[in-house]
Amino acid sequence: MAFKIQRKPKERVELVSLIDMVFILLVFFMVTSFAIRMPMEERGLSIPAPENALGRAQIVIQFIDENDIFWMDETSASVVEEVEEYFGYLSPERLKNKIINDLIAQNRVSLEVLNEKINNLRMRAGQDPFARFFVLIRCPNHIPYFQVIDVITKLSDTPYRNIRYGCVGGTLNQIRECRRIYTVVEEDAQGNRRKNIRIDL
Amino acid sequence: MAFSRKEEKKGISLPGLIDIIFLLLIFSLATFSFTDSSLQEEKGDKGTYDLELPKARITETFKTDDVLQTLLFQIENTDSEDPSSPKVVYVLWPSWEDSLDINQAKMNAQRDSLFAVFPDDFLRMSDRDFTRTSACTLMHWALQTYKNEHFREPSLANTIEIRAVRNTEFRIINYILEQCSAYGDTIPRFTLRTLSGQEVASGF
Repeated sequence: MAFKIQRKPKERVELVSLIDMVFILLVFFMVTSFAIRMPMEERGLSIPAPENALGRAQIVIQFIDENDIFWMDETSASVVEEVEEYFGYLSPERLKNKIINDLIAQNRVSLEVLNEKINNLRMRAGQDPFARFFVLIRCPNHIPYFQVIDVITKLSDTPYRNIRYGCVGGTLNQIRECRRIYTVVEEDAQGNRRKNIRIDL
Repeated sequence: MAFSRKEEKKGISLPGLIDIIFLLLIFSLATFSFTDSSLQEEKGDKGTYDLELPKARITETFKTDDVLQTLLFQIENTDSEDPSSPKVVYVLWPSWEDSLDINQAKMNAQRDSLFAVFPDDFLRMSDRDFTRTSACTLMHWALQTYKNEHFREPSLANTIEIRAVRNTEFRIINYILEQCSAYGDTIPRFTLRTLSGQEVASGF
């Protein structure tokens, strides 16, 4: 009987697998080198300087604490008007306190809600290139600046750059201690009459 | 008897090919830089607008050894290990003769005494007293001098930089913002350098 010698087939590296591996290694090194480099880099936020002229603001953002913010916009006028109407018999000082307490109770928001409101504002600004918004940011001196810069960055990052802002130091207590807070009827740029809040600090 | 020799067909295996195609796809996706199509204005169509928008980008990436391009206020703790230690401001001045990075510019600031420490009680000071501190006086002088030398006309390119540790109090940054604001369109923008990742918490 003749024995058959089984010859082993020649072992070769398959071209397809080789390319496969090379690409995997390439992608792996690219991703990891990017991830390693990231913390060593600085991010530069290009932010417009504030416009700190005296005047009107459609929105007031008053930082109370790092996660506690008082937000006032055009809807706040109805709160003031309501209190003026139903509590007009109070002394001016008590009426002022009542207005401010009601405003604060209804418009005190967390950082998360603030971000939602800012996103809504950005959406409105993004829909109309001719609309102009002015946001006044007030912040107590002790709060880390990053909270405010975060808000400014979001407000500045709109397609039409039509949200402008002012930035001043100030506390909620200064608003509480204002001389007077009341509504006034004014005409806007389109000639529409509307009620606005005036705060005499 | 005739022997028939069977030869294996050599060819590219389909699963391997698909594998490579997918890898190439992922690779090109990962390296492709996306452009924000929402920022591109269409021209000519009804209902669209042609607007001249400022070209300044909101974010860009720096390296700490990048050459200093403009005036930079660096605010840090006097003791980098202790976040409650007093803040110090360094005025880092770029050099047009030598290319300076931040570290070299900081050494120059130390040599030329272009730094000042904020008092411990600066948060309790009145606005008037705060603006008279040596740190605010230094920043005011630096900004005014730099503006007179380099920013003679309003331009979007006129920018200064701020590099501050994360726990820097708003009052310090707001002072710089107010100073920029006072110059109107002559200094329309500022760049805030922030470190990404864990290093932010530990300062520079």
